[in-house]
Amino acid sequence: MTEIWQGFLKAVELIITFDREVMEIALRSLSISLLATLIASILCIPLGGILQFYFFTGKRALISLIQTFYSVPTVLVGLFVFLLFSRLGPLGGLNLLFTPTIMVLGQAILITPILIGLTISALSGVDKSLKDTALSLGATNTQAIITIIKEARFSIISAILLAFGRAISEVGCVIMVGGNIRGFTRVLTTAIALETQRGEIELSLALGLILLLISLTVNLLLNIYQQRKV
Amino acid sequence: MSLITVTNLGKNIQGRFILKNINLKFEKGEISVIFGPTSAGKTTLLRIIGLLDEPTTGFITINDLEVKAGINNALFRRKISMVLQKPVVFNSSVWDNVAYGLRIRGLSYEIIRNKVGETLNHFGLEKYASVNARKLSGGEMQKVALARAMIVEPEILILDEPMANLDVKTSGEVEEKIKDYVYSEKGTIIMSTHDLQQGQRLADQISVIHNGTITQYGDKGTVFYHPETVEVARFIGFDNILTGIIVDRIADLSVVKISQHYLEVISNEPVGTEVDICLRPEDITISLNRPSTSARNTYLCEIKKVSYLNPLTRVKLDGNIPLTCLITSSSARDLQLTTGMQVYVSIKTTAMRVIPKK
Repeated sequence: MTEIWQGFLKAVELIITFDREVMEIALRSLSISLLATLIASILCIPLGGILQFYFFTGKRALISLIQTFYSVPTVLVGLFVFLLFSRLGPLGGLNLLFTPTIMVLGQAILITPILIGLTISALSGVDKSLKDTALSLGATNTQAIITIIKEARFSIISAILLAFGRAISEVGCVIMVGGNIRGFTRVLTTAIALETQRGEIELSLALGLILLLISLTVNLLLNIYQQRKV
Repeated sequence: MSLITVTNLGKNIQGRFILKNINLKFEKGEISVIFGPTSAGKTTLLRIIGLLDEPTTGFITINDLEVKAGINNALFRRKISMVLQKPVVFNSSVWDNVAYGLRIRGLSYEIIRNKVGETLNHFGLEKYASVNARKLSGGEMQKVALARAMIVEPEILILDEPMANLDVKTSGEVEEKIKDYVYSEKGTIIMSTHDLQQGQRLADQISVIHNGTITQYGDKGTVFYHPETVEVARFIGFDNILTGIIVDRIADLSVVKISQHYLEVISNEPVGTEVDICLRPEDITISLNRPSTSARNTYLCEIKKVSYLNPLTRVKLDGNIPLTCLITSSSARDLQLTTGMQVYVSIKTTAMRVIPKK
């Protein structure tokens, strides 16, 4: 018990003294996940808008399929990306495996279903008469989609926060495609996994605390936006 | 050439017809009122004309060009704006709401600022400019919706029961804005209503819609004074509808037998025709003694019920012919009308509209 307590105190010390390694890992984690969320959002929100706006056969089935992928195991996405970019894979020539770039890509793929699915849910919560109103005031289809997305902005921001939360807290995908290389691809989750195995409890706890802090912030923002929705 | 022509229009939803065989014309610079009871198909028709929905059959032309809903037709849609029955506002400030149509047309900020300022003043909304439109009352929201549609000056402005959710005062204001819009030659208005008086006040042209078909269409005078079917008559305020048979006729003056009683009416239908006689309650006069008037039809009746409603009083009468009449409350008080009283009613022959049964 004392060992854990000692570890905890050391961890706090590492954080408040801005320990170089801790900060470096935390910043890397943040930037990779933020970038992944940004890229996925730019692609998925308009895509969700288009899927919601137009009617086509199989729409219902497609949405169900997307929802099924909300909880896709992170290691499975890792495996998929790994196979795609491994030396023998179809995109192996790009030499991206075990780089931060591929980690961004992996996380972006991981959160794509959540982002598209939640965007669609958010948009279907917008009164249909708003779409009619936009069209009737002379909006093009694209302008109407943008208007509806704006109407659902609080729900969509919630979706983005949720997606970011999933990205930053996952370990399976980044460890497989990033490889947890110190000073290069090591992020909060992979570092915790490794340091704990090596008995470096203080470092693990410090990193864990930071991760928790990020999660709490995300949840706080989520709460704020979900309340503004009404 | 009419501004809008609707030809053989029909709409089925899940195999059930909502509209059938609608043929209408709308002229430039007029207020056309589509008049009908709830769920007659007014909204469906307006949504098709407003290019929000596609018809199942038939088509619409604007300036002789066929137009269709759907497929990126913003170019045509920009000639037409529709204000929906339920007030709809975007979750943004009143200013942003009103500016919407101008923004999506890519106008410069200078122009938008001037026009929005002008429009907000015109609608008395300037004090709400920075308020979120969702926070307004229903009536104010509807004013925002109307301002937002009128600011882009569409050639055709479609209003689906624009006053349905408004109080009397706001409703009057909105009526003024509607008249202004057409009189200042900004565009043509097509609106629906189920409010008789409102239709009378605003309409140039009236189409009466019933169970998804147009039962009568024409200028205001024709529809209001010469209804062609009993449904139209009943709907536009001919509360008394009496069924009888023409038993005698001299020139255009015919005698109709209704149960055991006779009424003189103007009609050139042959003897033996079964007819419905439609009569507005305000075209019946009541007197205590047998009057000596030019009215051809005078009968003794008993008062069944007197309902005082300011400024008019509705009197239900029973005699040989059951009738409802509407007189001013002051004359009802002067005559001291009460239930059970015997009174004489006089009906002007010209006030009765005779419709032969099909």
